[in-house]
Amino acid sequence: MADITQLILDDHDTFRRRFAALDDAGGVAELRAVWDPLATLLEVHAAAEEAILYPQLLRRGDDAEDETVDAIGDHNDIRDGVREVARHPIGSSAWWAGVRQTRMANSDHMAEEEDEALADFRRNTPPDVREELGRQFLEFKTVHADARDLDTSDKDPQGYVSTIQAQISPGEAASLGIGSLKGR
Amino acid sequence: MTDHLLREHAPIPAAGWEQIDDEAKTRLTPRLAARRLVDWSGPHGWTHSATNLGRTASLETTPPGTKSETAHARQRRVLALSEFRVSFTVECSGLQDAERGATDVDYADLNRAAHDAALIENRALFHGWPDAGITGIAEASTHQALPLGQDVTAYPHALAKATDVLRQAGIEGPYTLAIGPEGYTRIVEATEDGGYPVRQHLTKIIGGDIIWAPGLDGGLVVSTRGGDFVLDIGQDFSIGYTRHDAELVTLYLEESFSFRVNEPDAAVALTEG
Repeated sequence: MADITQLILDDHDTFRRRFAALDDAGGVAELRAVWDPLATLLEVHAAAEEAILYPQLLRRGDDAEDETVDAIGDHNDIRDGVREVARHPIGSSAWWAGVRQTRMANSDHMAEEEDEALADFRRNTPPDVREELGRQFLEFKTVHADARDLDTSDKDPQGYVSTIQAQISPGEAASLGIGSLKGR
Repeated sequence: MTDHLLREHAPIPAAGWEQIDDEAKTRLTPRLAARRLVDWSGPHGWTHSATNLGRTASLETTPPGTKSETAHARQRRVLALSEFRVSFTVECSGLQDAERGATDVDYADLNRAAHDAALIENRALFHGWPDAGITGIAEASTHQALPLGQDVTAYPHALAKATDVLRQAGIEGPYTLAIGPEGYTRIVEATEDGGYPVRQHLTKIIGGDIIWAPGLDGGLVVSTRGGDFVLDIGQDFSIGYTRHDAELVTLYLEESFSFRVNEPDAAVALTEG
């Protein structure tokens, strides 16, 4: 079982490859065969991060609040792009513009997340916890594989952070946040 | 519940609190050696008072005035959490400097408190805290302690023997060596005849890390496979406010926890004597 940061990197690799596959796809059928699962995975991946990764980053990270606000804002940009693509006929210039909008937003998000949030999370989370969160991440993606039951509307980044911080237990909120050091 | 810490009553600006919290975390973290070996439960908050042991004890009787012939009463067993506070002071002038942007404020007494607090947690987990009902890893071990001595060239043999004892007992790795500061220094400064660092040799033998462990007498070889040792945290290390005058603010470091050894076979103690 890989830890959650590895699973997220795996998804990022999949995104890069599938966006690249769109460059080579020809015709409506091929474009649909690549785009539809890619769009679904973008939605599920963002929702899984918001359900599992970022609540834990807010508990453990050194710069978690800023990193989370940035990430939720990026997820909104990606979701906006996916919705824009859905408004246009496949292969049309407007459709391609939406794909490009999504691709750029996703590329920006992945670079920022890999260099900042995931690095912060690794520094502050022991391997056994990352493994357990990896299990939860995979389970979430399996249960919500088609994204149909997910709320894919935009989220207020600061509101998301406030909601999670209100859920953090009293013992966590008042402490120095040292937590488990096993494996560190 | 943060109220019991009374931080809002301290004459400390936000920049000062940020520096104090950061300094405390920086000073505590490298010293909390036992946390690097054990599993973690919590933090459950200041109001968390006991760890469920999943066991019961028979009660001899039922309540007075009731028939006890057919009733069998039992009482749940729990391990109460223990709490401690270590006081320290911060100079008001330093806090004012922090508010002006100074980044070199002297927090010497906080450093002393962090040392004392880390030692309390480490000693409790390594060697126990009888008054708190905590048995330490070294004392709980069912294996005979092995001599480590002070001759670092003999350490590879001692560690090979310790890991063999664990394997013979059916305890899987990875294994970690925790060792007191003097022994740790001996290891990191030593090389074998061919110039090969002793530390690297020992790491290969145990297949895991070597941890600098203040508060540990001698050493411990511990399986870190998980599930064998559990630190149950109520309030993780936090800083609260006690009082202040014109020159000093008195604060404290606080923690509440219990600790239990689920598998006494999972560690071997090493003695320096």
